[in-house]
Amino acid sequence: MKPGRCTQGIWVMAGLLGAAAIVFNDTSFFLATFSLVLLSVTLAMRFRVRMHRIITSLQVRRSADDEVLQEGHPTTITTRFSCSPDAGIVVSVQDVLPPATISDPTNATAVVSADGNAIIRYSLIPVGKGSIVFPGILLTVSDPFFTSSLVMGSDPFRGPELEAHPNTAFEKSSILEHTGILEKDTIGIYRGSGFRSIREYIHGDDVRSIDWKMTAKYDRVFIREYTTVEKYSPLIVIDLPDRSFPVSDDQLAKLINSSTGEMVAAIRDYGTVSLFLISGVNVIDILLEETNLKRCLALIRASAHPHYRLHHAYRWKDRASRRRFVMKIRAAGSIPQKDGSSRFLGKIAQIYRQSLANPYIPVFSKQMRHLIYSLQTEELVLYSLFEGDLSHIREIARQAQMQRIRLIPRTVAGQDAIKIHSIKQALGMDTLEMIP
Amino acid sequence: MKISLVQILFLLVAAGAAFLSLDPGHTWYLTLIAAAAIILAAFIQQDSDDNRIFTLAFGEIVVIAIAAESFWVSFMVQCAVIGAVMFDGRFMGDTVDRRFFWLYCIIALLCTIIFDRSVQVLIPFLMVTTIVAVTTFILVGFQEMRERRMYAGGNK
Repeated sequence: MKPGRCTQGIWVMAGLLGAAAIVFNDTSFFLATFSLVLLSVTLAMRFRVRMHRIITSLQVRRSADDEVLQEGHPTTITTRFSCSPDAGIVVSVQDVLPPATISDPTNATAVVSADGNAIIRYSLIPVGKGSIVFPGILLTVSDPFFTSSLVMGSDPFRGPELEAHPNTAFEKSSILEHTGILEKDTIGIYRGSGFRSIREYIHGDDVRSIDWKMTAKYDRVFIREYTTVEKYSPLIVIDLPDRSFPVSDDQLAKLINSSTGEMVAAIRDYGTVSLFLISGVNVIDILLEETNLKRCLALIRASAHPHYRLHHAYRWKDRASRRRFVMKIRAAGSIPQKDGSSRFLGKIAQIYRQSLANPYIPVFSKQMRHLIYSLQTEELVLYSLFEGDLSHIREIARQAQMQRIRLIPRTVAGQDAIKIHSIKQALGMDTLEMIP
Repeated sequence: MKISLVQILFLLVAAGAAFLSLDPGHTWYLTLIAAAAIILAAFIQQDSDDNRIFTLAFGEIVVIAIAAESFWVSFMVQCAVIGAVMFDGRFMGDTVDRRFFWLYCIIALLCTIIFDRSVQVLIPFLMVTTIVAVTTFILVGFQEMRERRMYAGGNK
């Protein structure tokens, strides 16, 4: 229980009057001093009684939009409080966040209204896998004279328990490439040239698929199952800008609308589409070879919302760029610099050499590589506003180049020429498509 | 400027009692100034810390000034000033407010009697103040500890 400004004032007055009472030995001063002491203890007891009433009447109901969610995937938490506060009392409640989670807004706090109700809504992002239990609430009660806080973590204030599953494992599908035709090891309506298996005839099978040689040999009807022929569907990458950059809703809407259009076209033309949603180096969501347009649109609505923009990581140089830099410095090492920067560059080169010796590969690079390796695609359409650090964009461009995937970068029109030039430089490309 | 009627009433009672106890030969000017000051304090923004502190400070000066004349009148003034602060503009407050105000009045009355009847005031004052402060500290501390143990929960 902490005293407020008023109580501190009362204590100061009591101290001064008490000192005066002892000096003057005056009964009236003693009476005034005692009156102030008695007032402060009465106020303290009154505050405790009121706080006890609030605590005993407090009810918490917490619910989550998804009880099973993916690591790094946001879910909306709604917490409803009800209690019976007395007049003149301010009650504020805060949801204590489970460990290894991030919330937006950071402090999920609400002030209880006069009718005793309060609602907190916030989005919670688990940064690790496993079960997530809400530890409880922090209740703060204050009146003009005292303030007190209480962490309430007993059973009625805990829960529910959420389950965070690990990020999508990029499973490598068994895809056969044969004379330029992509074949998938599944049965489909489009017949490929390779065959998957031979099995006995089942009623309803296409008679054209009967293997006559095997049928004649064993005197039973056998069917030849062919693999499926597939077209290459594009991979659409949407990069949401860093949340610290002021981006207009109009720009974001244009970006999302254009990517949605591309997705619709891809499903119409190829039957499937792969969607990779990132914010800088943070992977927000992924959909691989999705055929259901509604599911794609639902993901766009849920995860590509500006509300879920994250903070991007600090820039980094990829290994090839670091190696090039070291070689460049080594080549120029014998020439002394006029401004004395050779020592600085030497130091940087030394740091790069040390980091090159370390086999560390950033997580985003691994994720990107796994994605591109596992997915058979010829085209990568990148939607970004290219704000702030472009290290992750460079990484995407590099991985696409290594896998000989055509990269089509798209951004919203209205960017200045210098920025467009720097984007092209980062991508190592001459073209950058503009969304009008 | 919005002024609470209840607070004004309490302060008028205090000021009226102060004027009634005016003694031209004693500290009448102090009583007059302090009584005027607590009325002026009511004009400071309502429900603010400044308002409460000013009311209390000048109220206590009135109590001291009147106590020299009449201990009983000063007790009444004291209760009026404390009531103005405790009810904070709400007419007689709620049940909790009323209960604690009466508790205050009873204890203040008992102690006023003790101080009035005592030959020497310092020792009774120290004793009563210590008893009141320690009792409150124990009660409040016990209640707080009990609540923390009951509601804090544990690692599960």
